[in-house]
Amino acid sequence: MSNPTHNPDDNDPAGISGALRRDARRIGEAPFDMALQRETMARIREMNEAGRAGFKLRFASALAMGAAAAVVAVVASFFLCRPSPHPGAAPVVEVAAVGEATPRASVWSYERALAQGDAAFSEALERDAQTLLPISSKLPDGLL
Amino acid sequence: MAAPQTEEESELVARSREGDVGAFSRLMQEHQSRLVAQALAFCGDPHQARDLAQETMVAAWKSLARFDGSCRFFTWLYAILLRQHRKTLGWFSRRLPLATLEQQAAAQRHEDAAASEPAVGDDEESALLRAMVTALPAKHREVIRLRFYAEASEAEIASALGISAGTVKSRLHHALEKLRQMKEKVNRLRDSRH
Repeated sequence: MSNPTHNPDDNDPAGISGALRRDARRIGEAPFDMALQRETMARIREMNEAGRAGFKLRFASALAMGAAAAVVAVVASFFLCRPSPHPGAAPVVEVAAVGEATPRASVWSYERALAQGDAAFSEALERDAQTLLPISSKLPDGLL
Repeated sequence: MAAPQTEEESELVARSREGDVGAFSRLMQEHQSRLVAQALAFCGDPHQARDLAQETMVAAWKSLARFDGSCRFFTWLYAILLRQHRKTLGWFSRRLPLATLEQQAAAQRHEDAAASEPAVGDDEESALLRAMVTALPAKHREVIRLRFYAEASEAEIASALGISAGTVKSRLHHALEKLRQMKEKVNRLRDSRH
């Protein structure tokens, strides 16, 4: 890696390449500057400290934002889930979601019940109604 | 020939990359003298050279994560020095009229003589050569400085500048050709004055 690759322009010691090499050799090294070293490292340490403080600040603000968002979410969910009271309104009739209970009867079973008579048909309907509709779905007496 | 990267240096680089400021300080101690001398050769002013070296070291610390070890640490550092120098020169660095080259070289010699510290290059030809290199377009100046002043191989230059080895070769060729042409023009100017 340290060996320079061959370049045809390197072979003219009397020309520009040679002059550049001679000039580079003249440069050498400057005396070590302790003050420069100290100043530079102080700047780097300062930069590091500032970076660390900035990270802490960013972390703290992110934490605060997260906490605030969580509080807002909890409060919002509390208000959204609470049933809204409407004084004077008719009582709510709760209806079970479709699909919660499995209907027992089929068209065929109703036809069969109907063939047996009205009583059998009503019984089949009553049985399925009880299965599909929860107890709370009973209508208040006053509404009937 | 510049010394290859030692194991100790590799270790210091690795520790510095992990954020060890002490290790980076030792690394900079190793390279500071050469870095300042090179900066002084660019700008001719000791104070400016000092600032340039400091900015280079700070920039090196900031971008240490990008050093992948594919070139020597000094080559990488030198490439940063070149970028910093380019920044300080700004638009002025792009082109200098050839007619001013000799004037610049003369001014440089005058400044060197007036400076309390010994001049980096006290030779007339050396000052002229540096003025000619400064007059090159930045992309050519960079490869010339890396190749001849930082003693980097073409592969190292390619890695340090993030360009292909073929591009380095081509830029070197064109840069040397431009320097030759400049030298001829300066020689003609000189002859016409005598």
